[in-house]
Amino acid sequence: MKNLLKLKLNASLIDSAASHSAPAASSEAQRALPTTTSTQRKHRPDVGLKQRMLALLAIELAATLAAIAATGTIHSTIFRIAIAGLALTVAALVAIEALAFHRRARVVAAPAVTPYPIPTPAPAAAAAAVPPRKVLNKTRIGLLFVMAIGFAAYFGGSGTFAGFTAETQNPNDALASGTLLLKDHVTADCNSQAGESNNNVNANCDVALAFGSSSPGQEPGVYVGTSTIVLTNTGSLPASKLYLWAPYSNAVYSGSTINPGGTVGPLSVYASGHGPAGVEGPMAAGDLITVTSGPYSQSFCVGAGGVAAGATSIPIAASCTVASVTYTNTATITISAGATIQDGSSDTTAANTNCYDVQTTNFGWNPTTNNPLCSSALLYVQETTGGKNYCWFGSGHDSATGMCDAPISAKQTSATPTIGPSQTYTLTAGLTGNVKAGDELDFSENGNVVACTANANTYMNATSLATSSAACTVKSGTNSGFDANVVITDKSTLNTLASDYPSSTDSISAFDINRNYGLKKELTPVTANGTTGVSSVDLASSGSRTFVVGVFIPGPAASQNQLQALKSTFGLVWHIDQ
Amino acid sequence: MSSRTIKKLLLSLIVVGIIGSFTARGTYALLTGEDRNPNSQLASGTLLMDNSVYGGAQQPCSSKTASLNVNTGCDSLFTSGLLYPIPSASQPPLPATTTYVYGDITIKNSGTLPATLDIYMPSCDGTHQTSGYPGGVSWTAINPCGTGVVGGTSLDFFIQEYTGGLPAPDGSGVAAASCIWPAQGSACTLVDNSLGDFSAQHHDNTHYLSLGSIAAGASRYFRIAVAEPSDAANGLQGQMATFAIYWHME
Repeated sequence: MKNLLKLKLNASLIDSAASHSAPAASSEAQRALPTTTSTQRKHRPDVGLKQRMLALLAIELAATLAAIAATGTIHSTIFRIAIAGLALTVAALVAIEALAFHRRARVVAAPAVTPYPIPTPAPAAAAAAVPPRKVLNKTRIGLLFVMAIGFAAYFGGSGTFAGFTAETQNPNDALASGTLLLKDHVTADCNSQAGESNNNVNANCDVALAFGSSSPGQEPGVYVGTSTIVLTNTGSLPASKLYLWAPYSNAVYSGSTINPGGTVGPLSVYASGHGPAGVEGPMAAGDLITVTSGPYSQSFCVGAGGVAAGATSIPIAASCTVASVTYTNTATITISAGATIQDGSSDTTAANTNCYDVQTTNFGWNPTTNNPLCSSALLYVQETTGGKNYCWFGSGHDSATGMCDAPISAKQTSATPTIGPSQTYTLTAGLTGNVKAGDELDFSENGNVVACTANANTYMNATSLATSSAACTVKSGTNSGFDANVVITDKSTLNTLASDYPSSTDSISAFDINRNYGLKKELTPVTANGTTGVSSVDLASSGSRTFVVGVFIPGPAASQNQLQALKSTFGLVWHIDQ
Repeated sequence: MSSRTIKKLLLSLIVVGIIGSFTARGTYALLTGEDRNPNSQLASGTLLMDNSVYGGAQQPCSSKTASLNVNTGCDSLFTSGLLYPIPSASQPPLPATTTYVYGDITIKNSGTLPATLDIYMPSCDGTHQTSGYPGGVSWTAINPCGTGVVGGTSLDFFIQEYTGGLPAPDGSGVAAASCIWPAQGSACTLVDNSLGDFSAQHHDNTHYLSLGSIAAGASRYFRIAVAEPSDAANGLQGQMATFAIYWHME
């Protein structure tokens, strides 16, 4: 780029010099003629003009070609050599012409040596006939030579001519972008980069909680189950943010590609195998939905009638205005199958959450209005990364112990006929919930129930439970006959959860309303049980974090018959930012 | 470009910046990754009861057909005629129906969840019969639902459970599994005041008598009988007992 600028300057000088000095040189030559007639004086300017024009053209051509060569646009050695030759030729001609001019000028300036008489016109007439003398001065000639040298230096002298040189080079400078990829593992790896929407969003990860079978189905007050989700940053960059949020009502587009300018009619969505089964959550008429396909997004309004949860087609309004902005059904982006669809107007009340209820059997007294099971069932999310616990959502969230109020259902590995104080019971599997010191532990088998007191805080995944020195009491039957089938529950936790009904903070509906995208929860690193804080990195490259997610239907004293034969469906979103 | 134009451009940029700071609430991270776990599901089970009174009109009387799974309109177990005192505190089967009335009932868990079965008697009301009550009597009426504390013994009452089905009228055909009330061995005997005692002890859903577990889809078979005790005093003459039995699963 530096050479080019110089060359352009030279070309400009060429042009400038040529347009002014060439005619001057011609007129000087004209004035140098020893004799002249009026006719000759009339014709000579025409001839000189042509010559000057040709000279200008030649110089201009050489300058232009040199400029092209300088840009490097034409990668041809032959071309460069040819241009160099042309430039040198022009420079040489200019030099020759300049020298010739000087000789003629000296001749004009020394009449005494003129070999033949020259008719001398009268001074006044001579002054009228001969135009004022314009001299091709040394400055212009010098500029022309500099121009010529510039040409030569550009084309021929690419090297350095100093005797001693030193040089260092930093070649192969390169810039590569990093990657930020999220792997979600429940039962199989699910990679964000494999998402069908082609924007590093994978909407089709494993079902986290699969308790949707209506036979036998779940019952209030009884441990349901949990799921362990391991999140790994498989990219090369650290993630400064890790979020958990509740999805809006959403779906995945299944139709053919819609190109910009096309009309977006009812959007068909996948019923299975690509993420949500149909529309996960209802979408009301007029709701603003965002369709994201690759890096592009466009908003539309849901058409008349809206769409019920589970449906496989979303009506689109031809036009609507939301917050003074008009949205039409004309595509401005390319929408391909796999595009995600989200209803940003959802997750505001229990009636329009991502979690939705359907009846598995219609008894007439178990309506789905306002999604009663979603509103009753409790959700809890507890991190257990590296044995450090933190309750991120649910009853007990942000507690100092790091424990959610998560129920347990455990069995001991060996027969212990009599349950007693100060005993340690080895469990057949890791503890599914948490036990706080002092909690009532109930040992139940065949109608015999013995209650003891927990000795210490015991976290998820623990493999044993210990009773305190306090005496155990028989709640039902006798304290005998217990074997490996004894079921151990934490009655204190069950009571706590029973009182958390209906919950405005811990239910699945509450999660959708209070922890949707706009109210998402950052999952800062956990440094100790119940301790977390601001960090510049939430999930390092190759780092993993482990979360236990569970659901539970509380069992209050009041009848919950209206919750029978219902099925709730909902989703979770895990998100990282650079 | 004039300074005026430059000023306009700069002011426009400031305005755009200010608007952006207030209206742009999204995340501006250039690189993001996201995974979603859709379709998590939680389904509630069902706890439904079928109540079938042998010979009744409703076969069965289902809890699910009534509001909130509570069916208050199932068949009565029996509507007796006039009872006479039983000849002795004999064990069932008893001979003459004039001294003994019973009803057979099958309780089925027709839901998907296992349950425990409870029974209680929310009311037992003793009144004079509306007709046939002797006038000018010299004795004090005895509450047939009483507990025998005042005036004399009251009605006998038992709940007999059978295994595998309902028995023949004489109690044969299936094994007597256990006597639920009064708590005895496998076969019930008639015990004075047992109706009043049951009502007093098990009269609501916090004072129920637990009958133990009943698996999803399982049935249990009961005979419920009432008799006038052999030592009934005259005060029981012309009395009438009206009671209800509630079956409850949870």
